[in-house]
Amino acid sequence: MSRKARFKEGSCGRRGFLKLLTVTAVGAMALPSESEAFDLDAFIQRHFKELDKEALAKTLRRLEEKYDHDYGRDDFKVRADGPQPGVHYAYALNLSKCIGCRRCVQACVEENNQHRGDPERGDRIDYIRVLEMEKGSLNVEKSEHFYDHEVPAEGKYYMPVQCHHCNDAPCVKACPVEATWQEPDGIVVVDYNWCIGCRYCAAACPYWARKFNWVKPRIPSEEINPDTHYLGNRPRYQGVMEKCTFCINRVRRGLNPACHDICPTGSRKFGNLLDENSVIRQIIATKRVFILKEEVGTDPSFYYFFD
Amino acid sequence: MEHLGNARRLSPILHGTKPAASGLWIPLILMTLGMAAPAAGLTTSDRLAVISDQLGYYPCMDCHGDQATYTQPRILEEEHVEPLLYTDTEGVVHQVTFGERLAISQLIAEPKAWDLRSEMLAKVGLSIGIREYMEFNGLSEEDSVWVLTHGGGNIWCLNCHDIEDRNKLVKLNGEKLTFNQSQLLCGECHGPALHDWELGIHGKTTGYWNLAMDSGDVSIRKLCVECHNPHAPAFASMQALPPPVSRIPRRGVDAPETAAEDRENGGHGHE
Amino acid sequence: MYLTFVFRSIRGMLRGGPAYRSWVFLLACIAGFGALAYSRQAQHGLGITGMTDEVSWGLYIANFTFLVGIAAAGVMMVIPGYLYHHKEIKGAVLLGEIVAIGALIMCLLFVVVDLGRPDRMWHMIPPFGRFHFPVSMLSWDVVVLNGYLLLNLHVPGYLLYKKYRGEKPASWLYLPFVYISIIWAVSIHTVTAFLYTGLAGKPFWNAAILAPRFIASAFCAGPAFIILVLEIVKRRTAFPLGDRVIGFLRMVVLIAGLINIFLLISEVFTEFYAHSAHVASAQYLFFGLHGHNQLVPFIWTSITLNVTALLALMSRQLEHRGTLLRVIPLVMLIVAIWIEKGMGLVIPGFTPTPLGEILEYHPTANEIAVTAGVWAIGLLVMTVLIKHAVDIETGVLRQNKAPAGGLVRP
Repeated sequence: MSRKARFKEGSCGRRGFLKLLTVTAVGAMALPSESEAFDLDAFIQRHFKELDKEALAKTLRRLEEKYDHDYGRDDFKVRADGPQPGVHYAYALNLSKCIGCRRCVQACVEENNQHRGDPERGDRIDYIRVLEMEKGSLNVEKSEHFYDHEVPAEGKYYMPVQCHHCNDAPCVKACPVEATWQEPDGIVVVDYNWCIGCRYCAAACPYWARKFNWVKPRIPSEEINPDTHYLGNRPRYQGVMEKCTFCINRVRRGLNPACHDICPTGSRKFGNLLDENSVIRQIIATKRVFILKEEVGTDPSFYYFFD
Repeated sequence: MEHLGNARRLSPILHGTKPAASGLWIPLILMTLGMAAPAAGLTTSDRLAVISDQLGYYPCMDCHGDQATYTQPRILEEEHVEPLLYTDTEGVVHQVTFGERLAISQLIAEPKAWDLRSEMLAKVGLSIGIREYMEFNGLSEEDSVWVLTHGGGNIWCLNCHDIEDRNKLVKLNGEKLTFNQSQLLCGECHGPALHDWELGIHGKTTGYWNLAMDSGDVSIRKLCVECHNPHAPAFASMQALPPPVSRIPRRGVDAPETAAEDRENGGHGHE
Repeated sequence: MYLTFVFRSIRGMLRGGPAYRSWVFLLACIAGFGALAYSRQAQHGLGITGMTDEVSWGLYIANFTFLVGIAAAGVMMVIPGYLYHHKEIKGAVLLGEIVAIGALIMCLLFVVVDLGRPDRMWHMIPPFGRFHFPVSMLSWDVVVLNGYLLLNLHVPGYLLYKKYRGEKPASWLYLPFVYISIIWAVSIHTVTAFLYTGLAGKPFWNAAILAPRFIASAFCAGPAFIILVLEIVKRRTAFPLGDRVIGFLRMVVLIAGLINIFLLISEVFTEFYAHSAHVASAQYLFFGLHGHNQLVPFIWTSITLNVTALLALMSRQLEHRGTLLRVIPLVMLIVAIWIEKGMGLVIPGFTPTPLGEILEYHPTANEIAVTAGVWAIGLLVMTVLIKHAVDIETGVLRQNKAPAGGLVRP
């Protein structure tokens, strides 16, 4: 170590350069962005799973205050509802019915407080990407992502893709700091206060479901959804990964995800995989169900089916 | 209603009565029967004409006793080029096509038919969803989608509507249904769809995936006719919401400029 | 005692001829420039790089991957030097290990500058953090890279200190580490390859041939880089270096280069002959896909340089035709492998995305400045350490010898 320190000193031989370096070092200390003051509590905050009841309650209150302050509101609620025993969430999407209208994409962004971005630069974060597929092909490389016309179009079918909440999730395996994991009810979550932003999980994901906050997320105050969950739709930080959580703030209270309820065609189905009367189990029992990229071995909780 | 009970966790949709709706229904019925200005393409009257020819419900024999001598299919509109006139209950004279005339003749046979529909709707207190359908599709009352395309020309009004009682729908076996049981009527032809609907696979359900977790609220499942216009059930195409803009590679983007933009857009809230 | 050594070493590093001083100054300037660029990035976020969700790793990780290879090859000379007690080579081993140190520092810096939240790096360090070992391949990489850095700091550090003191090094204090570092060197590049091959969702990387190709290209570009260092040291200093060292390394470069080309051919054949859906990334890299062909000129430049350089190396005539002709093929090889194992590996893995979208990646000026800064820091470390090693090995810096300035208290 002393050697390593030595190299640095060695490089500071020129006085002017030393000064320059000090200035830049100080500048770099003011991480991570011009608008976010250094927050010691956030800096030393432990991993979500290591927070005991008291620490968690304190953290949630601190976050609520911070978000209220950041967005000029007084109604932020950050909850941390836990998983229900005997529940494993699963999603099924009817490819025969989806018409690719992208209502789900919009509802998702509004529910989950994603970075709205600049439409010109196109850096809004979407959790759902709707693929316009050629009939007769399941090859996503032949898909069109940027269609902008009346749907459904002749000869096409539509396949929305979002996080598949894999039971053998490559992203969970990839993370070097356990900042992302699968909850007992099957939801793959990210602790936005623990993620170091290495993006290895994004490289690992076969469904392109993980989205990175390249800049500090921007959401107009009036568009904020203040009803949030610690592991879900609370506002994110610059430089961390985020993803679909099946709207953890909704489903942990018994509600359906936002994308499910907005769908005008009823293509989206959600329920408890462990309940044999749930719609998911009915679909698996009676429909032609498949999973996307089965060969990758991710064992997803997201199914596609045909009527 | 027993059928609804089969669908688990389903709390039947009982929209409140919509008194304001009755005003809307009259023009809708008019359009349904082709009273509105004939639209381009296939009109209701065309369809009705064909249907009447096939099914013989209309009193064609009244005028056409020699029908049997005609073995070739005929296009009735061409045979009745002369416009017909019809005076409605309010004394307004309409110029109608032959097909429309036929439909009207049915309504005349049931003198109170004009009002019955709206009265009936108010009575059962149900929306059959046409309003939602129109709102959802951004349609106005003038839109000429209210043609009977259902069944591809093989059915017409009286396959579903009771010939005597406009308050009722009628099954093939003659059993009469109220309008809040319409899915049973649909299920007569669309059995698998009804089965899936009962299981929650087909159709739209909103609200709670788990009612046990919050007894105060309900899971709402839409009826067939809330999503499908029963007269033209194919799902209408719609404009997709804007596509994602692929992130433009920021070659040479200057960071301070970006920050300035941020401030202008005011997206940060209060810092 | 040791502090005196440290102090005198630093002073020694800052002294030198005008060429040395201006070289160090130049590197320091670039490093400072890079640090400025990095502070901008830290402030505004990775958004000011060219990376996107489509191509989420770029120039930084590309350079990281290439430099792991250079670091791995640092011990190439350890094998003949220590295993076979090849005296002449032993001296050069020191330089090889210093090259490895410089390369490793660059590797670690490239990973750090690529992080979205560098302030949270402590999350990796147990017991405060949660280090996802042994599941995450990235955690393995952290272990092997830091371990390798420690090994490479220890061995030459210990040997130089002993030499400085005029004592004979105790073999049990360094020989075990030398043997460990041989295996460890292979492991750092293997683990880095596994970082990519372990991702089943990326068919371009998810190939067993990747790790052997990593090793082959590393043992080609790495020794080539070390030869360049040796040529400079040989010309400018009195450091004892035999011709046979360079000859041996050229042989290593040639053989590894040929194996690398063979593996490349195997890979290209498998991808294109079968022509499965997995070919898209390779198609993008070598020929362009749906009109996107940004990498095509680079990869063909790389292949051309690679083949030409290997042909030149095969000709024994060239070896005796002056320094320039000896050196040019090596530079060509380094550039070729930098393209191939850098951008040529990382970018096609993301193109097309798992959902079939193609978005080309363009590094921004700021990103390039940070990259240049990291390179400058690494080269600076190499330079001053080599200077230091040369000083000690040539007897300029000795414990008993008063330093030229004569200011230091014992």
